[in-house]
Amino acid sequence: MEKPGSFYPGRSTNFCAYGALSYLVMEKDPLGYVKFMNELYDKGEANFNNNHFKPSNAVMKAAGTLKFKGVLDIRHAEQMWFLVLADKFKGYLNFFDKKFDEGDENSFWAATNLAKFDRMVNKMCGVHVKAVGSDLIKPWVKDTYSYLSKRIDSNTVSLYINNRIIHKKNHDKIKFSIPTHFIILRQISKENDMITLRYWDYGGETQMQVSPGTLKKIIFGIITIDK
Amino acid sequence: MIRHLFIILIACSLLAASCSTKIISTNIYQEQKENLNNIESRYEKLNPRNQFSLAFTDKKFQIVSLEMITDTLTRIYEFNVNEQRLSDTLLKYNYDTAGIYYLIRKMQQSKVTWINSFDYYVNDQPQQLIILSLKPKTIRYIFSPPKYIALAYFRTTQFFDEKGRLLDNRRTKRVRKIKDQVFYKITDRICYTITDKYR
Repeated sequence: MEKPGSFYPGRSTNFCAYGALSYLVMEKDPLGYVKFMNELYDKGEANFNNNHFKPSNAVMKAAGTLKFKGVLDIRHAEQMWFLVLADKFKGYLNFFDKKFDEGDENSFWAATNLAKFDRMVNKMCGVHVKAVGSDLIKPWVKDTYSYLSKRIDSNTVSLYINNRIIHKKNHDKIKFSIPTHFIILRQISKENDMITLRYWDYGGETQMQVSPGTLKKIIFGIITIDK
Repeated sequence: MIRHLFIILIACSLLAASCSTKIISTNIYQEQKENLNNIESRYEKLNPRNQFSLAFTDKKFQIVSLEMITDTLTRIYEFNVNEQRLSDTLLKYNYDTAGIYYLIRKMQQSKVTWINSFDYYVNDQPQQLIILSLKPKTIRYIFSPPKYIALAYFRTTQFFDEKGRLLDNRRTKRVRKIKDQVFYKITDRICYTITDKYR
């Protein structure tokens, strides 16, 4: 609670969307989070912003046992939080894997599509969410930089991006153009036709420079959230 | 017509399944043991002062992605290794420029695509391991994924089962997966896996 921005969704998991959601929850209602976690720990079920959570037995058993995920290994409450969120909210990506089995934190069971993310933010934070873009087609935005910089001061902006382009994992030139990651945009600036992005993910902030072309290429969804 | 199409589809899938990428040398660690251990130990000395990771994002080992990691911010930059900006950036953030250039050269020579340190926990105590990925020479067929060899260097002796698979600890038989991969024993504290991603 002393470092609300340090929520860490774990290495190699599919919890990045729940990580971004946690960032927003901690911004809006940190006390609500503490009350919810206490109630969940005491009773095995709890409410958060009128959403009732009653995790499955498999999820309750798994909480506290996830290993080799970095600092998430020793943050058992965060393990519970992420597992409970993934257990509760479902989208079409979870259609074939709705029941938790060991190791599912890395699988489609935990995956999140854009519409599911919007829905989660709306329900958990009780705020208006406006999104452009989709899971396959990039947003129809003429100038991505201007679009983002106009909104970042008055709203919280989350991005649904193809992380494989900026964080390459193999040397193949042909890559599937699909979004893989949710981040919270913190700052954006432009100098000499290079855009500097500062964003939150995995419990900390990252700064990187991209060209306007790359920025357009990586973004599949821009989610504008009321502050 | 549909029958022919069906037969072609089956033939194609059989072909794709049988033509997985093959690594030519099966003994890369032993062949390059000295260089690889040297890279690991050099990184181990440099990293605690100012945390960083290095990855070559191109096949020619000329473009390096440098991640400079602090408690509050991770800066990611991509440079051509000959660019002045690389040394300027290292100097600006107080990194050991000569040490990192030496590491880059050694990584290029040994085809090491990525080096990074990982934290993990034993009995709630933080531990660190170093992972480096190699790009081996391969025979690759169309549609087959690339292959890399990842080496994990632990600081302490690890435990393995009879198949040589890395285990969680001495008492359990639970296989420890790193980045969802099973690792196999090379020595008591070094193990490897073959993967289609270098990081």
